[in-house]
Formats: sequence, C-alpha cells, structure tokens
Amino acid sequence: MTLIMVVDDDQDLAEMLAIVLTGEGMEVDLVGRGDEVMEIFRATPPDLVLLDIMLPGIDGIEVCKQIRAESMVPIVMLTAKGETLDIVKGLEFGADDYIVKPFQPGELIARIKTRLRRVPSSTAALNLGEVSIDFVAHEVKRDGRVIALTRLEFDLLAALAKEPGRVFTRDALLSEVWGYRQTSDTRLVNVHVQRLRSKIERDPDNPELVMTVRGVGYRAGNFIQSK
Amino acid sequence: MALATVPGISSKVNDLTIMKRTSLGVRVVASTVVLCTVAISILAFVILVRVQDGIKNSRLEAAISESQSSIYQTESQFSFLSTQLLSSYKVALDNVINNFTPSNQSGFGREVILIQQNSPQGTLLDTERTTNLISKNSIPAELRDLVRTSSTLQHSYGNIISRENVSPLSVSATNPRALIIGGKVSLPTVGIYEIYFLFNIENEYRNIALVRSTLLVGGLTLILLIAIIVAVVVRQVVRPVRSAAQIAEKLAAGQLEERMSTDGAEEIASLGSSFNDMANVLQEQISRLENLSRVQQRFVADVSHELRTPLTTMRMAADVLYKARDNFEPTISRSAELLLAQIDRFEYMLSELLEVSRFDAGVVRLEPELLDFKVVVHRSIDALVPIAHDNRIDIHVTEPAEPISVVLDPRRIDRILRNLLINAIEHAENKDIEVLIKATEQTVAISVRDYGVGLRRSELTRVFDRFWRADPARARTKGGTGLGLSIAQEDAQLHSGVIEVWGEIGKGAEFIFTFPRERGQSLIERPIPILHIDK
Repeated sequence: MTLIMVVDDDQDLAEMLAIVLTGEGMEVDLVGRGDEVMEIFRATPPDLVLLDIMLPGIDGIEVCKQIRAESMVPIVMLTAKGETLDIVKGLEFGADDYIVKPFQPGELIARIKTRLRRVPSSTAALNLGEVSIDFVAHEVKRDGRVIALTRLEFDLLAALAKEPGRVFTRDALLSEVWGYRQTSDTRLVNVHVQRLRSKIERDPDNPELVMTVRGVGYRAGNFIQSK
Repeated sequence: MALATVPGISSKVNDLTIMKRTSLGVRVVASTVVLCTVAISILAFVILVRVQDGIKNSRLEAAISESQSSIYQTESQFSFLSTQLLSSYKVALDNVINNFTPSNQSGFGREVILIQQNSPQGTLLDTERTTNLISKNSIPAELRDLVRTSSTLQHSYGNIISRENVSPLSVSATNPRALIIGGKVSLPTVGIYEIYFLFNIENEYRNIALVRSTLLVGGLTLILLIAIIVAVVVRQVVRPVRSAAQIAEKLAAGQLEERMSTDGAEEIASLGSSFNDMANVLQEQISRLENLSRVQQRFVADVSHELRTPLTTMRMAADVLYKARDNFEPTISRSAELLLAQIDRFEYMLSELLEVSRFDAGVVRLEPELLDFKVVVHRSIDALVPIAHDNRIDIHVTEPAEPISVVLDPRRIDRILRNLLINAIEHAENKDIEVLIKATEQTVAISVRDYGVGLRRSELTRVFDRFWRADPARARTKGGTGLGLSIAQEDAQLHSGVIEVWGEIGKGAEFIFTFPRERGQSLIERPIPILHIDK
C-alpha cells in the first residue's frame, strides 16, 4: 500500500485530501504542524510527501530541507501563494514538483502517480562519461561511489542519457519526466537541471554531462556508451 | 520587490534645455562689463577734456602775462636808451633776445622772434632777429595777419622750426610743439616790430598724454576688476541655485534623501529650507504611497492564500460529488454539476482579479527566457485546438520559416495569446481563424484575425477596458470575466509592446500584438500594419 504524508494546517483540506487519496487506494498520514513532520516521517517513512508551504511551527521550505537531509522521497509542494519566489525556493531545496491551489483533484492524483511510478527500462546500464547509470538498481555511481539522487533527478538523467543525440526541449522534459500533458512552468526543468548538475558534474558551472542548448533546451554530453 | 512600471523621468530633456540657455552667470558678467565700459568711457572722456583744458588754459594765461611784461620791459628798455646810435640799438636788440633765452637750458624753452614790420630806414637794422636760430616759418601765417591788424596780444599753436641750414640743438627736440603769443612793440626811431614768443609746451602735451594713458589703463583695469567682482558675486548667488537644480534632479531620479544646505545668506538659506520642506513633503507622500502599495501587495498575497485553500477543499468536495452523481437523484446530480462548474468559474475569476490587482499594485515581475516565439505560439494554439474544434473552427497559422529567437516571459505571452485566441473563438461565429506571425530585426508581431461579428468603430477604443463587453447579454452566456483583454494589454506593455485592434461590424476583427525584440526599446515599426487587409 502506498503511504502518502499530507502536511497541511488546514484540517478541512487535509481531510478532503485524505478522502480523495483513499479513494485512489492510497494510505494517508495527516500532519498539521511543520515541526511535527520529522518525528512522524522517521516513524513511518512515507512513499511521497504532500507539503504545504505556509505551516505553523516551521514553514514548508524548512521542512523540505530537513526531509532532503535524510531521504530522497518524492516531495510535491502545495502552494496557495502561487508566488514564484516560494516555488523556486522550494524547488531549490529539493521539492520535485509543486501544485498550485486550487487544483483539480485529477491533476493532483496524476502528479502523485507520476512521481511514484517506476519506468521499466529496456537498457540495464549506461555510462555517461565518468558516471554510470544502473537502471535496475536505480543507482548512479561515480568512481564506484553511489551518488544520492532523488527519483526525479534519476528520471531526468535517465531520460537524457537514453537518447544521447536528442536535444530535449523543456516542454519535452516536462512531459516525459514530470508527466505534464499541457504547457507548464519551465522553471521546474531549470531548477532540477541545476540540482542534478551540482550532484553529478565535476564543475557544475562548466557542465560536461548535462549540456544546455541555448534557446532550445538540454541534451546529454557527448560520450554515451552502451555497456 | 522590483517595480515593473517606473514613470519615465525626462532628465535628458532638462539637460538639453540647460545647455541651450546661456548660463545666468555669463549673462550677468557680460552685461555688467558692457555697461561699465560705456560708463567708464564717458567718465574718462570728460576727465580728459577737463584736464586738457585746464592745463592749456593755465599755460596760456601764464604765457600771455609773461609776454605782456616782456613787451613792456623791452619798450621801457628802449625808451631809456641814452644814445641814438644804431649800434646801441643792435646791442639793445641783442639784449632783448638774450634776456629771453635762459643760458642753462638745453633744447627749446622760451624763444622769441622779432620781425620788423615796416622799417623806415631800410636795412639799417636787422629786420629779423630770433633766439636759438629758429625760423620765422614757425609762426603760422594766420597769426601774423592777426598780429599786424590788431593791437592786442594774439595766440596760436604751432611748432618750433629751426632754420633750414642749421641743425637743431638736439635731436629729441625736433620741431617741438609751441604756444605762440604774438604782439607788437614800437621802438623809438626804428619803428614797429612784431614780437612773437614761442613757449615750448611739449611738457604739457606729455602730461596730457600721461593722463590719457593713465585713464585708459585705469579704466581697463577697473572694468576687469568689476567683471571679476561680478563673477564672484554671481557665483555666490548662482551656486545655491545650481545646487538646488542638481538636488531637484536627484530627487526626481528617486534619491529622496537629498537635501539642500541651509547655511549662508538669508535668501539662499530660505530657498534651501523651503526646498527641503518640499522635499520632505514629497518624500512623505512617496513613502506613504509605497507603504500603501506594500499593504496592497500583502493584501493580495493574503487574499490569495486565504481564499485558495477553502476553494481547493470545495473543489475537491465538488469533484467527489460530481464523480458520484450517477448514484444521485437527477436534481441532486444536476446540482453537483452546477456546483463544480460554478466553482470553476469562481476560481477563474478570482485568479484574474488577483492578477489585475497585482498589476495595479505594480508588483508584477517579468520572468524572461530566450525562446523561439513560434514555439510559444504553437504551444498556446495547440492547447486551444480542442475548444476551437468544439466550435467547428480551424486555426490557420502563417509564419516565417526561420525561428524567431526572442527574450520573453513565456507564461505571460501564452496568456496574451490565449486571451486573443479565446476572444476570437468566442466571436468568430464558427468561421476559421487566421494567425499571422511576422518578425523584423527589431520587432516581432502576431495578429489574430476572425471573420465573425466584428466590432463597431466606437467600440475599438473600449475593448481593453476592464469588465467591458461588446454585447453584455451575449457575452455573459459565454462566461469569461471581461478582464481577459485588459490583462493581455498589461502583459503586452510589460514586454514594451502593445495590442492594437481593428474591426468592422459583420467582417470580423483583428488583434495585433507587436513588441520589440529587446525589452525597453520603443516600437519603431509595425511588421503587421494595423489596417491589414486579408487576401
């Protein structure tokens, strides 16, 4: 059973979310305060966290930071503010995706399912420069050491590495990695590419693995080899 | 917080006008110099004339009395002459001549010329005697005529001329200027002589020349001094005015802390303090407005947060009900449908209202990216194709082959295009819509053309007004807030662009969005003209 942790101080909304998610066959943990999250998180590690930004105790951004310090669990932010600064900050601290209130329940379910899915891969492993990608173990290694990537970061890297010649537009990545069918916020891509680079590149300012194609999008670096 | 719209400050224009006008200081100094030159010239001229007259007159008076006494002296000398001998006359005449010439004087001093007027005894006596061998040509002919016909002393001005064959006594004294007094002496026996006294007045002329040059130098110095003094004074007066102007410009540029100094002369200090009062009031007003805008911004954020959370709950609840509507009675089932639809509408209106209030608060911020404009357009169109097809409308796009790379905020551009396209779909009356994209070096333009109901001429200016509807009864059934085009226009202005409209009743309408490739540049051309006629 999939366990979703819903962190929101609005009890009615939390209850409604629980009704909808339970209807989809998921289990729900409700948390009302930011400073209570980590305790419950450690006791019953969820498969995904739905996180409101404005919370009593400590705010959602801080909670996001704390969770990321311990876990690579998918985090989807719930934001009522719709203000860019909070969204970008949340993404930079490791949130995978965000959804702006008021949202359609169907949209929320779709996002959650995208974040939880495991795409079966026809390839077992790939080498991207000095980095090796293991699609079975969902692991990325550099010099034999595992690099801790979130599931989303892994998916992003995998998408680029599987089609080495292709330049991905931000829209294409949004649809392949995030599961958006319609146009959406391209900052999601920008922020996560930055995070991914900071983890896998030797010099994130001069990337060799995830390259920017100015005015178009991104592509993988030029040294893909099948194992 | 970055304010998106800062009112333009035309400081460049001010600079230009200042440059064109002559500076106050230069003007004051110039007019002072001109007026002083005139005044000093008049004064110097009067002084010069007075001094010249004074010197000449006093010399003349002295010369006349001296001449008179010399004549008496000579006449008495001759009347007491004991002998009638011609030789004694000669001696006496020599004496007369010698008496006049100071022996210790170099150059010409006081010279005498004696000329016999009419000698009864022929050449017995010298008809002409002079001192220092000067020539009788020294005496102007007019003076001689006057002396012959008159019994009183006459005077004239001339030069002392030496006899031709005699070298002058000294080089420097060549033909010195002289005051010439002429009279007659009647000598017993020998008759009447004309006697001319030549007074060297070179010294007097030198004095006059000295006075003249002194006046000239003094006058020029005075004018220069006055010019300097005026310049200094003007600087003192103008400097605070100039600094006031500079500080005013700084204030206008937003440096609200700038103040004038209030030291110095009373008037300047009062200018400074009134100026500062004005600046204080301005600063207060501006900070009050800024505060208002901050409050507004906070309010927008708060409303946004506070309304959206319950709205989310409502929407999810409605959604659950809606999904289960098949299990309800028809009235309840229909109610669930209406509930969801109205929540949708409410949500849409709320987001548009919040957007408008953000524009009003001036807190909108562009998030520019370098993108291909064509891709952005196609994304927007693709999203609306289902709605267009519901209305049996096709959207045809005409565009250049090459990409149009331009820095833009994709979400705002998408919103502009969506608003224009939805507006076109709503008014197209099921006829196809044409989209035209054109770009030049500087400018990008897109037009959305429908062939539907069209617009009246009087309506063209109103379509961008908030909550304005061409046909209130019609539009309301279609939904929409009446804010779409107004928001689109604001978004266009954020890109330094503009949306223009053209339309005719029954023939449809065309909305043209034109914006410069570089934000902040003004629009210099219209790649798609406003009255673009379709083929």
